[in-house]
Amino acid sequence: MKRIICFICLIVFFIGCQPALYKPKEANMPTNSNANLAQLKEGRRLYIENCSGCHNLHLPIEYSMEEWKDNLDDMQRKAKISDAEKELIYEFLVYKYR
Amino acid sequence: MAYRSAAQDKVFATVYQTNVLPYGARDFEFWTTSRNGHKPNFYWGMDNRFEFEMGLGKSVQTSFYFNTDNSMYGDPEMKVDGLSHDIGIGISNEWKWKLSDPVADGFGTALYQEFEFEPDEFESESKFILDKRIGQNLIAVNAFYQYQVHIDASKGKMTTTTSSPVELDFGFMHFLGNNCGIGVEMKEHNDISQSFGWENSILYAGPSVFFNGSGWMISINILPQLNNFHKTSISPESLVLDSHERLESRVVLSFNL
Repeated sequence: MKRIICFICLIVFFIGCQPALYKPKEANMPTNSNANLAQLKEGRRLYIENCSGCHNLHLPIEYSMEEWKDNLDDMQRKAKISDAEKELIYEFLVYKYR
Repeated sequence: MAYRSAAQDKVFATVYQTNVLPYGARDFEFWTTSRNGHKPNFYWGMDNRFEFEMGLGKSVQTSFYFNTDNSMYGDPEMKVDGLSHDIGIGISNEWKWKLSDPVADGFGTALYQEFEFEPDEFESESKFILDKRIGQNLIAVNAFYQYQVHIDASKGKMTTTTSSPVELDFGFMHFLGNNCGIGVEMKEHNDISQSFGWENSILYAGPSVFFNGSGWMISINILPQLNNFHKTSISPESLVLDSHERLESRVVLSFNL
């Protein structure tokens, strides 16, 4: 019985958790970002939609700004994204560095 | 720089994750599982699976397996070396449907179904998979139910037995950079049979590691049997060694095609 309760607690823990990939909000907008809130949200959507189909999504903290730039350049053709979409994804991924 | 997109980003050897291959992507996986340590007689088994995985799009993937299992065990009736050998072959088909993502959503979920056919056995395995990425850590939980029909014609008569094991699996992996990780895997296996009901509840737990590169990955675990939480007249001891192994270890090697 105890183990069933532990298992249920674990499921509740999962359900209660926030996504590991942050959501841009007005309150945490950087002052020197090149994108506004709507563009950052669009960048998040494009990142999930175009990248999670082929590999696990990576957290922004896993790479530096320069590495993200290189990664996106490498992946642009495979993911079939335009330059404008790539820029929105980049701004979303690095906005916490700004 | 190498961007991690290897072989479905699988990190556990036993516990399943929610990720699926994208449309048109294909992987080849080789699994080998070593099982040993029965009492009172010697036992050593090795199961091999050759898997072809394919992404079908819309978060669905399917796999086809060719399975072989070989075992060698002490048998007092064998006069020469006291050992008997069993060899089994079979095929499986697996389906996985990802419902949510472990990074983009609060938690990842997926449904899984596998059918396995052997000349003397049919198995249906259903799983519910949960996983969650928290910083550099990944947690995964599987709940699975198996329905097995075994045909025994060894004594001149055809008999059929059914059993329905239920298992809870848990995995924790800490990523050490982008290409390797170290963690633990656990499984709690419950044997439930038509004849005897709930027979036992066996806990296996041990270390797990993975490495990957561009287009390949390897994961390894070692799971010793630690305890039987549900002692019955069928399984009265704290370890169940007449029908389960003392030690199970698995290596999974995967390549993008």
